[in-house]
Amino acid sequence: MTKMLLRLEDVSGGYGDTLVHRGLSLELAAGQVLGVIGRNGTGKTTLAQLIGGELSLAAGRMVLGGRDISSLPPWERAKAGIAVMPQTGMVFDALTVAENLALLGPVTLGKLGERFPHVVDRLSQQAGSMSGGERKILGFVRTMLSPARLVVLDEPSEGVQAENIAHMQDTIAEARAAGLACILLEQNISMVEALADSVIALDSNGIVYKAQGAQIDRKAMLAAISI
Amino acid sequence: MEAALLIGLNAAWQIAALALLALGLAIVFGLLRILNMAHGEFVMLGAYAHVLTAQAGLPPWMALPVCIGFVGLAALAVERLVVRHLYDRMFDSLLATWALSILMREAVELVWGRAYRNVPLPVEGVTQLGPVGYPSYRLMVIALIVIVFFALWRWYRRSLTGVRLRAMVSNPALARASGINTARLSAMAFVTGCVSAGLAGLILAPVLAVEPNMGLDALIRSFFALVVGGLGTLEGLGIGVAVVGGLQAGLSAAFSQTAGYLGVLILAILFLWRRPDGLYRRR
Ligand SMILES: Nc1ncnc2c1ncn2[C@@H]1O[C@H](COP(=O)(O)OP(=O)(O)OP(=O)(O)O)[C@@H](O)[C@H]1O
Ligand SMILES: [Mg+2]
Repeated sequence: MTKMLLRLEDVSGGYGDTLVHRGLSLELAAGQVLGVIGRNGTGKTTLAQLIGGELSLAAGRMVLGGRDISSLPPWERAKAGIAVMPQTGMVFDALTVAENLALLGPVTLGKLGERFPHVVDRLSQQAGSMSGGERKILGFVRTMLSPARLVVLDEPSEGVQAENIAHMQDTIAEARAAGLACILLEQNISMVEALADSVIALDSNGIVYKAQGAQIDRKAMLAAISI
Repeated sequence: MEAALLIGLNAAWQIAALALLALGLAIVFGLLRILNMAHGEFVMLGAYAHVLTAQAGLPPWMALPVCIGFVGLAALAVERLVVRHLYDRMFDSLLATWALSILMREAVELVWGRAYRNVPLPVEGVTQLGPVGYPSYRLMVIALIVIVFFALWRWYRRSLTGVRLRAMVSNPALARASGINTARLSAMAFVTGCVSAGLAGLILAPVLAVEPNMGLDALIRSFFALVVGGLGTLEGLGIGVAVVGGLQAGLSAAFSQTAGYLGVLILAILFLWRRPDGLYRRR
């Protein structure tokens, strides 16, 4: 059995007294993509924030590479190797594209620059003046460039055109081959189907569907997120 | 010609002194969205660094490190005990720092009494600029402010810490997720703002009336400059101090000191009423 990179053990959390997740457990190995699907308001973003540390755990434990990270602040988790792309506010609006990237330290865009040429073309543009899709792409590029072991992507394909979604998929697939673990929180079933090694579907009662590898079934996923 | 030069120099001095006073308030508000009502008391503490230095039997130049240490420690304590818990709570932080300002005034009065303190000019004499002689100390302060503002502006725009600070202001959650320790950066920003206020008090002490209640005037004048220029940017601060300081100097020269104060007060009220974002709008 492969060694697990991330493990959530009976995690509960939410906003103040309102718990969104109760006793949620999951695990993820390096070089694997976990797809998390669910209707609006089922707690995908909340899960991303719990993993990134923006929300603190009400109960349970979170372990990354053998280290208990349950009570680490977000910046310590980032240093431990978790990069989160939030669903909204995924870029620094007041900074230029170049400054958004400069915060990661010295980076080379490489293939990402070829796939998303407008990021290279707009280095001096203020990120806040980019379109919704462009900001998603910049947020995605930032996240994939960060020196992380685990990336958490909260609806990266939302509002992005098909071609660019395909480029995102290629980028994630390559990074996975290089050993990156990825949690992909999406409504876009096709994207999840194309990438995920395992899938969970969330509902207001927690995890309602779970599948791995060849068992992942499009119909079952669609059923799990329809009303 | 001579009169014009003198008026110009006086205006430059007023503007420079105001810029110095307001800088700390602008730093704390711009980076942390906290209106530090105790700003003036940090100015006052800085001025009392002269007194502390003299009492300790140290040479006058030691007032500079004493001021930085004394005000810095006070600010650090205030951040830890009070302000840290009130980020993102504008009204609460306003109330808390207001209460703090009273406490600081009382404490200083308890230790050093109510009496006015005279702080001698560290640099005596007059520099001849063509036909006009102007106090050397004032000229030095003007030059210092120009250099400090320019350096600070460049640093904020260009340095990595500047980018991090702007990232934190723009999107604190993403800044944290990107590995920026916003708790430490915020504490640093607060202490820097307060020490800057303290240094303003230290530098301006020879031309101010040093007493426990001197902070109120410093706070109000700084606040007016920020209101006119636009709260929270260095550019806005520059414009604000130029307009407010220039107006005050102009009216004082043309009419009287009271007219100067009155003009500034009316201007600030007009701005609060008609243009609360100030002259410089953040893009
Ligand atoms: N800041 C908040 N305070 C209180 N409750 C919140 C807050 N943010 C979200 N919630 C609630 O938590 C629940 C889960 O929200 P969450 O944003 O995690 O859903 P989601 O699955 O990401 O939805 P979407 O697909 O629309 O992005 C919702 O019921 C929502 O109303
Ligand atoms: Mg969401």
